Amino acid sequence: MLLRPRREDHLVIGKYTGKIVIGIGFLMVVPLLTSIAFGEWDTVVDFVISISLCMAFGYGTQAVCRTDRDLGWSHGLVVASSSWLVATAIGAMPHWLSGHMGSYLDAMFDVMSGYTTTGLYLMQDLDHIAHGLNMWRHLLTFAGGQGIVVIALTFLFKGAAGAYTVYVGEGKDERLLPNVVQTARAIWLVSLVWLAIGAAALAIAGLALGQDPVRAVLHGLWVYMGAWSTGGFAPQSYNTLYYHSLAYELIAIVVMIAGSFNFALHWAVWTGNRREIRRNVETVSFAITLTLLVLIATFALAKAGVYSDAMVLFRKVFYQLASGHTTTGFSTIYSRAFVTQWGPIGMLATTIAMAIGASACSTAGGIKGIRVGVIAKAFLQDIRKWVSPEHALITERYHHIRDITLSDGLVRSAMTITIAYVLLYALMTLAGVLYGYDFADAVFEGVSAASNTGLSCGVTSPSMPEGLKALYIFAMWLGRLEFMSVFVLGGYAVSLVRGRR
Amino acid sequence: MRGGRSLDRGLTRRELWPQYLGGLVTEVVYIAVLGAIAFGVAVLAGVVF
Repeated sequence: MLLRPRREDHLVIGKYTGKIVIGIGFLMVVPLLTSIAFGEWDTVVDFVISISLCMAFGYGTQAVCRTDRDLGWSHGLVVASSSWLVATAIGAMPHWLSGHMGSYLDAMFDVMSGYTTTGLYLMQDLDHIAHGLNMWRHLLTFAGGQGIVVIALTFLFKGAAGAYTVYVGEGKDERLLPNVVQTARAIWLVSLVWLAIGAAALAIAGLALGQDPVRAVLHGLWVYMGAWSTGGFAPQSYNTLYYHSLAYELIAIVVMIAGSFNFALHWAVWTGNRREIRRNVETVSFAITLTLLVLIATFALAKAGVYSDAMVLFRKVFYQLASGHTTTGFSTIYSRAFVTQWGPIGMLATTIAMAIGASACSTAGGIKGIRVGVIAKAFLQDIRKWVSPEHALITERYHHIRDITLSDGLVRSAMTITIAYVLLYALMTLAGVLYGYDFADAVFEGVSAASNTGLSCGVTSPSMPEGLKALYIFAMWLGRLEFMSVFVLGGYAVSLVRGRR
Repeated sequence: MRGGRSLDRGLTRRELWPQYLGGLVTEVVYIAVLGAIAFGVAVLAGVVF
């Protein structure tokens, strides 16, 4: 029986959604200052308008939704899903005002792609946008990777007991430390240390390429943000192919794979448990699937004679597959090269990598290594049962921070989310085919959007059908939040109409 | 452990940094091993074809 939400429920959801929108407004101060520093006055006006809107909405909502009640589980999940929608609608304002977007839907597409760390984009004339707008694009993908809610937890919630529910609703369900706000701060610590090292390394590589110091620093920072958040946005339309640099590629690979690690894994390794990296089910699963897919794609491309020597083959295959598997979306080949050069086997290997994705409780999307690991262990357990005496008790364990015994509940949970992802991938493929794209293109792009990867074989463009843009926005949102909080939001909407008092 | 307004002071104590950096290096080594395997595969494929 559905219960119709009471006024108090609306108030508490409104209050916390407002807080998160205020957080988005504060975030826009960074690109505003960037634009001021570079004298981009039109962009300054765009951001002043957008910040005003965020503050008006955020504080207006808080004024209307006055309540002392804390968040319950369902509230937290509804806040997580609804705040991403509101943040997308309002966060699209600077994009739209810039004149680089074909429509407000295109602007919302790019912003949802940023928040969800997908990396597909519809922005036009990307190579000539303002520094402030480029900063905003990369900052929102960085913020999305950290988790908009993690940011709000760190700076706005101040230890509210119910904050954990919003954190879980955003697809991050591990506490690194006993307190959820401390957990959010530990996540920041890891990200900021990697930021200092990764952005500096990329900036030095940029200087070595002959970029002027300001450009090298900005590109280093932005490419770091795109890599760490596994977002895949880059400041140039040729993505990281623009740099034609082995050093740049290697640094980007290191940052994007590190960015795809579970924050709990980072914290365990950083606090002295070094063996965790080779024992953890997610890193083991990632290493096995990445190596197998690299093997398949490398031999297929070598047999087809696509690349001239082993070094080029390594650079192209490892980069695209690491990018796909971490759901980053950086590329060093042209979009159509997936179709014209990589062919069916190369595209299939990349699609599988994107579909699996990387670690849970990280910046990455996709099914996630822990679920693949749990399902693989369940298969092993079943095989061992079949080959053992009838009454033998077979237990299987996997390691994630601690040893965990495989239970039916864990396997069911992993299978449920995996099936949900597969259905979402199938739905997006069907949509692509119905809109007239080739099957292989529709699978590749649909999986890329739903797994929040951002690699493109050329389907995503400003001229693509509006309906497909809207469906990809939906897929990016659903894939990033891992279904549950979106389903709860749907249930909340239904209970408004059909619930009993 | 008391929380500050930005990063928790307990998390940024000076004596913890060598441990943090050791963890970071461990992560880089794991990624380098994956890269080395991929390079080996590319060399092997080059020899075979």
